[in-house]
Amino acid sequence: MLAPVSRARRFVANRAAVAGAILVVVLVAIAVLAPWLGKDPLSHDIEHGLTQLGAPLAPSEDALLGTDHLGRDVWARLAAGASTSLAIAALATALALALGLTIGLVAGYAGGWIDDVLMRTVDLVLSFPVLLLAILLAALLREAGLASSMAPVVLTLAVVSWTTMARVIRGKAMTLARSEYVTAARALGASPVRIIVRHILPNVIGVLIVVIALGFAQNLLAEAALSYLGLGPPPPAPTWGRMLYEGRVFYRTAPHLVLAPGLAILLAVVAFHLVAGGVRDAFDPKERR
Amino acid sequence: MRALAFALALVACNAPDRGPRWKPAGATTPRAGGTLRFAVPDSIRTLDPTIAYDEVSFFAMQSMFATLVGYGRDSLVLTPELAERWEVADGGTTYRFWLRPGITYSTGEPIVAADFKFALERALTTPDSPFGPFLSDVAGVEAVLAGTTRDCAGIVAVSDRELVIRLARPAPAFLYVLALKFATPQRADHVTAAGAQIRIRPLASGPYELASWDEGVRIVLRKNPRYWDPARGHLATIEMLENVPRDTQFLMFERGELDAAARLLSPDYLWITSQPAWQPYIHQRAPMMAQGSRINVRVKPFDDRRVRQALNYAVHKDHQLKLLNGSAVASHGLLAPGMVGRDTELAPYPYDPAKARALLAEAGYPDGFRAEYTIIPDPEVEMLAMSIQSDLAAVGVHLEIATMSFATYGIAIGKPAGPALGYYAWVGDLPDPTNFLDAKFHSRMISDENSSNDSFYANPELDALLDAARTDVDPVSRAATYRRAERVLYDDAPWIWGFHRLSTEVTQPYVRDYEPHPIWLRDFTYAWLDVGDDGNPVPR
Amino acid sequence: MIGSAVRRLGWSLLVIWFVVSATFAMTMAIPADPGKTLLGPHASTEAIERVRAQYCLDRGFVGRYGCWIERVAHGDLGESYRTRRPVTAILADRIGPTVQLGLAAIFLQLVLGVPLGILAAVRRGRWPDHAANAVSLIGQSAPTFVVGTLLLYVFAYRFGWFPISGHGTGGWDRVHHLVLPAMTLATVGVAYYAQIVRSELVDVLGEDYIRTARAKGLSERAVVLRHALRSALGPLVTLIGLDLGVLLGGAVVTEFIFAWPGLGREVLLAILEVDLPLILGVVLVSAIAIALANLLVDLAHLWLDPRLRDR
Repeated sequence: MLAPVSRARRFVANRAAVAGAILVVVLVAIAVLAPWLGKDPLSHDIEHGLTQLGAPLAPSEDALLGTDHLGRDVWARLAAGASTSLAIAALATALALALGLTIGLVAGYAGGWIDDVLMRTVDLVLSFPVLLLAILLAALLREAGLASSMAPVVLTLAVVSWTTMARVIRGKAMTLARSEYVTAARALGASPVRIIVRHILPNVIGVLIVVIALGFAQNLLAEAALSYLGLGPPPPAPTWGRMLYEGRVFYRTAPHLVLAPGLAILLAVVAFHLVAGGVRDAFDPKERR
Repeated sequence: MRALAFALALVACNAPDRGPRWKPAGATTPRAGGTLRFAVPDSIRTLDPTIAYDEVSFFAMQSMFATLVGYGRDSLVLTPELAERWEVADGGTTYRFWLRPGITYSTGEPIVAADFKFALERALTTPDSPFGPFLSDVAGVEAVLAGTTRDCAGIVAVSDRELVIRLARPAPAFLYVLALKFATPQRADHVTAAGAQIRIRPLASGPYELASWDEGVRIVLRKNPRYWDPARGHLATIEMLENVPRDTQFLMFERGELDAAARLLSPDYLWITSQPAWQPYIHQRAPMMAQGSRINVRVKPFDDRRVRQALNYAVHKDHQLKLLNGSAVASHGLLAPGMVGRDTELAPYPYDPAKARALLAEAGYPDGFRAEYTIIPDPEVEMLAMSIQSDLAAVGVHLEIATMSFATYGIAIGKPAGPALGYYAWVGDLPDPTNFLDAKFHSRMISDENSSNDSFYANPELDALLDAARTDVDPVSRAATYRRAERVLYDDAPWIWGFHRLSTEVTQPYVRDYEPHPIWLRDFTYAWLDVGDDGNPVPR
Repeated sequence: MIGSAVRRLGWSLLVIWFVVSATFAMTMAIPADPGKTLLGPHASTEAIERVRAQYCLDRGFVGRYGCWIERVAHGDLGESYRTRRPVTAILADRIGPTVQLGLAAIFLQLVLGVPLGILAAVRRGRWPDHAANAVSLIGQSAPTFVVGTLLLYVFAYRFGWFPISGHGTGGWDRVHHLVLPAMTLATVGVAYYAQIVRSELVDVLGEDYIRTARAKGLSERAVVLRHALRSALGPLVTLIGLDLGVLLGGAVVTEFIFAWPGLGREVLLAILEVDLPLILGVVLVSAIAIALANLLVDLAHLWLDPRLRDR
């Protein structure tokens, strides 16, 4: 196992990864500072925020990124969208992680029939056509009376994304479970939980971070896709996906309504991919290019 | 590939000339032949006129099926179609029709009076048919609905060319019912032979017949040479593409891949209405519809009339109209402009948040209250809902927006325990107040499972007015009664009254003689293509 | 070999049954019924009840499930709530376009992604590698509908090189309509394939037997194509299998944008309008497609790597 110091150094040496990390920090900063960054993202301004005939306003001095079809400031919504979109993706990723990590660790450590059963379960869930499952769940949860909250979207994303995490973590846990440390610990009579927590978990961190970053990116894209199909968070939630959904018909006359959230999503996803790549390369030099 | 696409996109962002690419060739008389193509955003469900009840199926059907009477080109007045003339007698309870001589189906069999009788009885005896209730005034329906007989005593085919329909009571709206497509003549042997395939095997009596139907993709109709009226059926074929998203439809129209477009999205609507070159080819019409927010008046706090009125005063209608780019008219009730019985003096509720707050305080809600507002997942509906949300928040009523699929919403609001407040749009089948006011606000339309009166509004005064007007054969007193009914509903406010949407359609310059049908809009049976002798449109 | 295959087949069947049953269970929670959808707002309660009975909706959960299983066993997938058209007929119509689109996308992914990966590997560290990586990254990060809308706007609307929507009338017209949707679908796949090929090649190109081949005097191209690429075959096969499953399940967003009449668009419409028989039908087909794809991938791996047989 490599010392943490050289891992961090290798990450920092990777320029792309650093760029990605900086971008992530900037995004999080925007998300956190959103309430102070511009006008109210939720207040419509039908009187002055639209042209006389009711069309969105183009970017100008007043509104850096223009207004949307309800007269709301696009920059303010973009910033607020950062916090909402990132929060949804984070929550979904956290839920998925809770499930995926537990199952992955247990399956990897226990091996044998436990591993078989758990991985078969993962296979079963993966056998659902992913987008289909997402759409169905989103529609179902919406009908189930949670129509006015974020819960349907978050749950859907979590259910769809925990499987990859479980698989990857299980793979790593399996390798670790065969190591000398674990064999020794087992011989000394340590309980499985203790072994998992003390020996396996710390060494899974690298893979974990990669999986979290990639899962995050995937959930951002998935939320955008669900919103585009009309199954995302309910109004007036200012997520980037919803901004795309509401603005997509204006892509010829008011392209800023699509470019702003579209580029935001693109940059965020790219950033997390770069970070994931950097962490993976830092933790496992054999795979380094 | 990515960078290239981006660069191209930037280059392409400079708008080219988007004016009409063609012009009319200049013919003075209708030219026969050619294909007209248009698109719709949904699928056709069925071509069985006894069953079809959705807008898109109507678009396909209206060219194929003719009825006894039809609507004039640009008016709501009924004109003879398959019936050459008719008579109303016995205080409005007997309708006698004489069919035109020599009318046949596209297959050549003659259309006879018995075919109309069969079609109407089919609506009564087919479990899936939504049209049974429309015939409730015909004498003898009870026996048919009870299942004791298939023969409706009130409908009599006196001879091959003479049809008599007797009503149990006078019903001035009845003639409109016969203009609905389910009343198109049908042959018993054809229906029996087709069996379950009847939904794809229409027997055409109209200007067009079915050429082919690739379900969910495209339907092609071709001219029915046996149709009686030479003024209709100039086009050789009509093609309707299904499931084309609204924005894609407009792109295709601009490129000339479609000859007509409708239901334009906001940016497309704004763009084309601002182009002088396109002006002559834009057709606007106020269809029989009303949009607003439906209220379940049994649920607190909406059971208090003052609260409902307050909501009406709180909504800023000008904002709603601006969001719709001016393609709507604010409403004071359900009846659309041009309808019989509409009170043209009555103005919509003015925007008066102070008055709204006062009314709320009077009703015992000085600090407002919280409620849920249910909508369907449509961006336009959401937009209007958010505007309402902020208007109501300004007077202390805090709404949370809940979204429900269209199918589930329709079922949920029919139950008393369903959503209490939400988006609603009512499209009429006929231009008569019975189809609007009775259906939505008469107390006999209330039921616990599937209430047509989904406001659960019961007012004996209104019931009495509607009952009287329903059978009143004197048009003047009938209209006066309906006006009084409108006022009652205005004051009682079982809805937050919204607006009547205008429909905007646009056609290529070479499409001549097109008028949106007064009820069902996209009717191309009179249209023809003013193209060059080679069959191609003449470039501008 | 046979034993493994049979075991995997058995598992596939179980998976299909599970997926469809789970979907059935989920749809039970949605209070949709065809009554009002078919009969409109004027319908009487009795009429609606009659329609519900026809669809077995008047029974409890187990009753409905049993009713459905029995019908499926007879090859009857019921009728669509909206149109009353047999679901089997709808699926038969929609499978063709989806298969065409899926295969076209996979073809593009191989034809564009593999060379891109090879280029990145052999020019590792230099600018073609970086460019290829950037392309890969953006390809995986751009939302499908943004790519699709962009392609539609630029190449179909602005330049007019391709038709704007629909799936044409067969033959070359069909191919013409296929290009843009297939490119949209292939975007993410090209990126993945390129990445996989590149990483496999980079691994392999440092191996001993490659050095031996070079020492023997084989040209670089022969070395790469004949020896190195073979090691990438395994992961590529897995990816293709995954793709087959996913794409045959219907590319929902792409089909929606281009009005491509495939399973994806059909299921989206079905879900939005809560057309339960159709939803179940499409899920069944998708599950079969994925199971089939997984089965094929497993068999391909067994064949490619004899060490895996009959453990």
